[in-house]
Amino acid sequence: MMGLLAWAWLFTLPGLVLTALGFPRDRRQAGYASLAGPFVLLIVAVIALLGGGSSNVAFESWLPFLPDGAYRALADELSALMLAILGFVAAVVYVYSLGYMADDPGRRRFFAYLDLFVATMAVLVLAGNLAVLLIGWTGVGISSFLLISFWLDRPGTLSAGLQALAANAVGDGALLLAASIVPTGCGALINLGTQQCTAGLGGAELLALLLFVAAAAKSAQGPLYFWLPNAMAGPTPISALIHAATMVAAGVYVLVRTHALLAVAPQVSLWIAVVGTATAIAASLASVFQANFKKGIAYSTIAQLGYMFAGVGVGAPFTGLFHLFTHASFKALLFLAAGIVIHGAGGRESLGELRGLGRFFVFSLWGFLIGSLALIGTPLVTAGSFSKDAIIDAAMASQPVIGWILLLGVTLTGVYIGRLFGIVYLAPAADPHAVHHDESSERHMNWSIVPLMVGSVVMGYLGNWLRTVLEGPLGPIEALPPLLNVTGGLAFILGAVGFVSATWYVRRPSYAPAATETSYRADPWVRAIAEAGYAAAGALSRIQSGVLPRYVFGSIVGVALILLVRVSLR
Amino acid sequence: MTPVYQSIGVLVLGAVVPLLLVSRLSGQPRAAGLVGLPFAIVAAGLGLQASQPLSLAVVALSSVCGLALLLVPVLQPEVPAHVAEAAALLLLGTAGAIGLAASTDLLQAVVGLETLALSAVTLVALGAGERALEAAFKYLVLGAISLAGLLFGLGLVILGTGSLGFPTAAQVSGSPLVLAGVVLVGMGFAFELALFPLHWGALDAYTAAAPSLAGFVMSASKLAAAFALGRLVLAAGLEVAQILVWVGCLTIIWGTFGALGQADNLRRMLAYSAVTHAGFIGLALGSGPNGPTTAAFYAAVYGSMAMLVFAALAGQREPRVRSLGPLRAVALALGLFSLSGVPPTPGFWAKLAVLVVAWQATGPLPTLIAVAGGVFSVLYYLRPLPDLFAAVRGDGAAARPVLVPGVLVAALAVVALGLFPGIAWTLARGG
Repeated sequence: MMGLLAWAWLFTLPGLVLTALGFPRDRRQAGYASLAGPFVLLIVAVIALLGGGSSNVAFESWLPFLPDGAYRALADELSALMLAILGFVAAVVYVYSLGYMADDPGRRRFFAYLDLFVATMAVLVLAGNLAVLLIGWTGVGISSFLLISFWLDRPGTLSAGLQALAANAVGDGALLLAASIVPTGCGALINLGTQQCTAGLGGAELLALLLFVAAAAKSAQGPLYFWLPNAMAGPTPISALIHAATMVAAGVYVLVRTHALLAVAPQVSLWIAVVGTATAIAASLASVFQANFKKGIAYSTIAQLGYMFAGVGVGAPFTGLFHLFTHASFKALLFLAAGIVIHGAGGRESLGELRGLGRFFVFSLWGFLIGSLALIGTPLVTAGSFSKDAIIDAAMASQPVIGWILLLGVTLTGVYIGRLFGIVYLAPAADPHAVHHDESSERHMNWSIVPLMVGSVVMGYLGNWLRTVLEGPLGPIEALPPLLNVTGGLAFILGAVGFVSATWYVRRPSYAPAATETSYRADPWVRAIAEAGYAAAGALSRIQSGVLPRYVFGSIVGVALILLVRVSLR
Repeated sequence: MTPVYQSIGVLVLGAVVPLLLVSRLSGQPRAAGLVGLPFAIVAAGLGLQASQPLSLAVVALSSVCGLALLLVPVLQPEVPAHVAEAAALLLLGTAGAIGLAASTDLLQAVVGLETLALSAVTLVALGAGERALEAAFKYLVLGAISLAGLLFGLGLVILGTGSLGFPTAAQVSGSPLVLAGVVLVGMGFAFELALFPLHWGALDAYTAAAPSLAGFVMSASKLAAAFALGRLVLAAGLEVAQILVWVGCLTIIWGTFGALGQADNLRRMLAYSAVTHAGFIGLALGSGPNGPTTAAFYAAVYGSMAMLVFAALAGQREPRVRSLGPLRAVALALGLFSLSGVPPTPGFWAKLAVLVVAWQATGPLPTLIAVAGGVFSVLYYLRPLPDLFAAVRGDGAAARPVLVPGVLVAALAVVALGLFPGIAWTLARGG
């Protein structure tokens, strides 16, 4: 099965072609042709994961001008797990979208983009070397851009998409550089840490740093966080699939995949842990001040990715991956549950407008509650506790300061998610008449999130099994903490205190957030950089005025300068 | 007679035929394109037998010419008259470009360069409206100035070495006169490549030329100049290579910022993008012994994607993205992807190839500039994309049937180069 899985990026392409060409003809059935793809992916990935083993695909000298110019795909337990997550969340999101996008005129385009995303994400996961990784890496960035800017006629969506492109460009550049500077013959991801491959200028540290920058851009860590909250301009199913569960987790995946390189670059590893921790705390704080429902959850995603980075950085890649696994389920659940309310409220997203409307949607209410409990890490009954405790435990063992910060950060997690839950689901409804029930599309949405609810509860129990399965690609892994343990208990208590107090605080009638129009403008410092760039561009265009004498002057002076510098420098 | 000279002969013959038939062909653009096409195909076939890396030059230039001929049938709204002459000039310009690329001494290079440059200027001038004429005039004047510099440099070289051959590294480092001469000659070639600070005229010409002809003007001159400069650098060694590295970096910076400022003007953005790509070629040329091969590869890839973009835009005087119709919209998107370097398009592989040699030969700073210029280009190339795909729904004008072969062939070339970039690489370096 691994052999078949190595070609998993082909699975959604038939759907892409059919949907793009306009099958089925009926506009209300657009997207049906795409439905099979993610299910096939899920089934093949799970069977391959159960079967184990690995499969390599290699076409040597495909790109003769690169240090490693082969097409290399690697399907092993690690990629099978990632693809299973991708297939699972994608399958849910496809079905959910049948309801969410039911009346959207661009429905066909939406499903075509979705297929493109799943295909490129599969390329990313299956990449065996840097060249192939770049294909997937850039591909998911572009799919993400297209989906963020999907509703072109809404204000700010193009700007939000361009912000994502800009942040991704930084990461792509780092990866591009990594692919260009490795010594000849190097490029296979699992071999990047070997002596031969770290022999170039800058050594292992430079290579690891480049991968870290690339991962940080994709996973919105450190200063490169800025695009993800505004990526919420895209439709909600996209926020769940791409900007919560899978694509933004690709940074963590790549760092796990290249853990051997990080192991020989301890300084970079420490930086990964520090940046991840700082991002987790800062993003949790930022979430508390959001006026937009989805942006509040988006900052939570950034924070949780920070936890994963911290886990990878303290030398416990498995814990980061495990949290990626459980997080995919409960964060997608949070988004899709939120989407049901947003859809029912006619696309409104601001907390002021959504206040109290959640109670009219039973599935959404329970889904969001289960997701929240998993997020703060309720022991035994939710998956989040298993993986988050594992990260905090690993951090305590190697970098106690980071461990304590992460532990205390759980309070903030409780506060921000409790605030969102309290405002939308518990507070008295601001305007009950704003709710519209649409039976047929709601049925798709409601039932499609049930698997995610189940996943958010039981996935944690798979931890020890995953640990044994992944010892192949990851090497020996330390045992996970026991089901009930002191750190986990402490973390839960902190989180629960935050959750309950925030819920209690915001449901008071006197607490009423303003119903504001959501803005997708970039943060001030990003805008300042962009404006400086565009100002330079404008100035430069004015020099290029079309006046011939100036052109003649420019040419002659330019050539004279070059001549002067060259001849005088010898 | 070598295959290269045979192909030049075929192309010149091909240029003569439409001119002899001018009165018959003037009202029939479709026939004008078809008459020239066999000559381009034969020339490309002959090129396959040439030695590397010239094989790539002949094949790529003839293919660009053939593609441009496929677009001649839609010339009518863009070029009010003289369609047959346009076909002839395409073939003649290609002959000149091959002459420049294959030149074995500097005199041949000058002859080839002028044949190419004058054909290009005239092609630009054929476009409808005052702006095309004005741009062509500027292009002509600036070209004449750079030619003067080149001839002066040629004089210095003859004075220093006593021959018309490409000066060797020993001759260059031996005498400042020869060095100055080589730099001036190189700048003459750089004008065709549109390297900063000689890009001014090219920029306006690329903006104003008729879309069906702009692709040819941009790619043919880049291809030929890349080969000629490659030969110059290989002979003259490090002294000239370093100039090209820094001029290339400046060009990348200039083109990138210029293109960023053109949010609403697709044609001007594409013209600036041609400058940026010239910068990548310049950087590659300066990057050690493998540099010129890489530059040739890059130029060939650039030719394919520029032709694709302009095939998609052909037949419109002002490009309107929303009214392209599905086929051309997808083709334009593919071309823009490739220009911006999105894998697995050929533009990406070419960029990566440049980065590899640049890192090995020139070190971190030029490589970083190239990486930044490469990755941030998505901000201007992909900006029209959501609009473009939203238009695919089909409310735009239907594709004009005469355009379909041109668009399809160009798209196939880009896809083939993307999936099998080794083809062009083998033609450039062998084995």
